[in-house]
Order: sequence, then structure tokens, then C-alpha cells
Amino acid sequence: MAATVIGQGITIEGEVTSEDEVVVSGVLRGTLNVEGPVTVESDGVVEADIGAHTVAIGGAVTGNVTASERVDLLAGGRLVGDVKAARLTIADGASFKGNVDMDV
Amino acid sequence: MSDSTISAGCSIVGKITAETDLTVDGHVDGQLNASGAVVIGSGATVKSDITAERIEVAGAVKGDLRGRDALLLEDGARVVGDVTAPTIGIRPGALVRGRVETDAPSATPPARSTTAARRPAPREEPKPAAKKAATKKKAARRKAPSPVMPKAGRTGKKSTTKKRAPSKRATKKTTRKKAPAPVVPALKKRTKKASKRRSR
Amino acid sequence: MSQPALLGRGLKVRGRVRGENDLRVEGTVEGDVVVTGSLDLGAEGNVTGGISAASATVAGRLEGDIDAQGPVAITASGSVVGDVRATEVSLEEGGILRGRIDADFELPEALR
Repeated sequence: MAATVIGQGITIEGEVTSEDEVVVSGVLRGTLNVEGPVTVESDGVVEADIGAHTVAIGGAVTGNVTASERVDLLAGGRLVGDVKAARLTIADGASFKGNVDMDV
Repeated sequence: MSDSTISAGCSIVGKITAETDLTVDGHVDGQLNASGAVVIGSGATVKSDITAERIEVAGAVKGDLRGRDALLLEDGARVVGDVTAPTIGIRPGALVRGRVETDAPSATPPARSTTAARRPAPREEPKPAAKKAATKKKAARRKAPSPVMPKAGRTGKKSTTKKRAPSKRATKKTTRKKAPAPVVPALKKRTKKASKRRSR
Repeated sequence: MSQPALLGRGLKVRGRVRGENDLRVEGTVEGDVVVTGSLDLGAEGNVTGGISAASATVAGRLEGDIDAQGPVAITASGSVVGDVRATEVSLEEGGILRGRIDADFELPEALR
């Protein structure tokens, strides 16, 4: 099944649930729960708690991030919220404010 | 800006606002407002009103659909709700339960096929009006399908005079005081003054 | 199989029209049209009244409801102001429809 792409011109206010990959370049406010990868692109803005297998953050995320596998905060990415994941990378140039719990 | 998709495995409960085209193959429960095109795929289930420039539905929708420009219900579409747009297409196999309203175009008329272009735009007007006036107007319009080219004195004057197609050389009956008249021919009256001027 | 009856272009009928077979209307009818076969309303045709038929194709003007056992097709030149009850209704772009369509079907589980 194809990925859900919330492009730059899209704004969603509500609960998003998906069985496959979600890529956000637009704006999402609410909650995001995905049984797969989540990518927040550089122009993406997510004001939501995120639950997924893997989360890659290149844009702005305000909310708690919980991943069953890993969270990668990329250069240019900005995260304000707690992270709960077995693996975590924070790239040089990323910004992060929150707690980390790797004891999953 | 690339287009967006709500994939088949995705469900959104809430409000979606789209400035770019959006395809929905999954489930949407809430509201959907778009300034571009919205395509509801065959497997989609949408419980929401949809307002967009263009809407194409091949899936199931429970809600009112409003296309500012056009709306198309494809084979396989199941719609419970009202459907409104200046141009509506319903293909065989599309099922609807609700009101269908092809309303007048808003602001800019949508690009229409040649068949439609030949028909006068506000078609519903002649009906309530007096039937005689309506048939006259209709006949007049039929004679002059393209209002772009006004032929002097020639444009659909279905009046009682014997002259049906006055030549370019004005005859005594035509009011030819100036350059070729624009197309509102039925309103022009032939005056005696003009006939005196142009006695040939 | 008999030929479809034709209500020609110059004809104007005021009153109910009933027929056993197919009917093509190119003229004007002020009244109901009830046929057991198919009804073909030509581009020049005008009906002010209800239509009841096995199926219908509307290329002209109808002011009234359509009640069909089968499908109804409204062409690009057609105009229907009234409700349509049929097994399926198709509308070509450019055609006018102002009224209800009531097809019989169930929405999928997710929308009930």
C-alpha cells in the first residue's frame, strides 16, 4: 500500500491513524499513530503526539514521540517533547528540548 | 508543491484543508475543504462534506459535495448527500441518493464542451417566462450561436418584416446610423428616419 | 417488434400521453407521459409533466419527475427539473439536473 503524503498545502486538525508510512510536509495538529515509519519533512509542522515504528524528524515537531524502533532527529529538525524509543540519533544542527527514555 | 494522498490504510478524523490537490484512498470522517481538486478513490470511505474546485468520486461518500467548477461521479461511486456544481457528470454505475443541482457557474464560467457552448448559458430562464417570448428568444439565439461576430443588421432578427437577411448594403428599413451593431438585435427598432436617409 | 411511436417536432399535446411500446418525443407535451417501453425525449422535445417508463433518455427538456423501472440517461443537451427514480441515473457534462435522485443501495459498513 502506498504512503500517506500530507503535502505542503495540506492542514489536518484531528486524529491520524495509519497502517503504512506517513510523510508530513504540511501541517498536522492532533495525534498521529502509525504502524510504520513517520517522516516529518523540513517544511512539515506537527503539533501532535506521535506514535510509530520509526520517526524521522526534519521539520518542526511539538509533542511526545514514541517509537517502537527508533527516532532520528535530523539536521534542521526541531523537537519539543519527550522521546521514548530504543534507539535515538540527534544530528548536528538539530534542536531538541525534552526528555529521553530509552528503556523500552 | 506535490500532490497529497491519504492512503488506503490511513484514517483521519477531523478537519482537512487543502490548497493543493488531494487524493483520498482511505477513510475520512469530518470536513474536507480544498481549493484544488479532490479525488475520492474507489476504496475510500468518506463521511464528510467536501468542497473543492473539482471533485471526482469513485468511492463511497456520505456528505454533501460542492464543486465550484466541476464534479464527476464515476462508475462505482456511492454517494448519499447533495451534489452541487456548475457542471456535473454522473457515469453509468454511479449511484446517488440525494439532491443533484447543476447550478449556474460562479464568477468564471468553466471550460465547457462545444455542445454545451452552443446552448445559451442561462437555460432555465426561458421556462417560467411567457412561452412565446421564450421561443422567439430561443430562435433568435439559434440563428446567432456565436455572439462574437456581429453581422450588420443580420443577427437573428426574427421580426415581422419581410426582409430576412438584409444585405451589407443597408436597405431602407435598417437602422444603420453607425458601425455594425453589437448583438442585441431583437431590441433594435427600425425607424422611419433611417429609411428616409437610406433611400436607394 | 413494432417501431417506436413518434411525437413529431411540430406536435403539441396537451393532456396525458400513454403508450404500450417505446416512444420518442420531439414535440411538446403538457401532461404526463406513461409508456411501458423506453422513452426517448429528443433534443427539441419538451415535456411538462411526469414521465413513467421502463427506461428513459432525456436530450430535451423535462419539467417533472421521472419514474423508471430501469436506467435513465440525461445527455449533454438534456435538462431535467424534477426528481428521478431509476435503477441508475447517468448525466453527461453539460446536461442540467435539478432534483433528487433516489437510487437503492447500501453504503459500506464504515459509513453507516
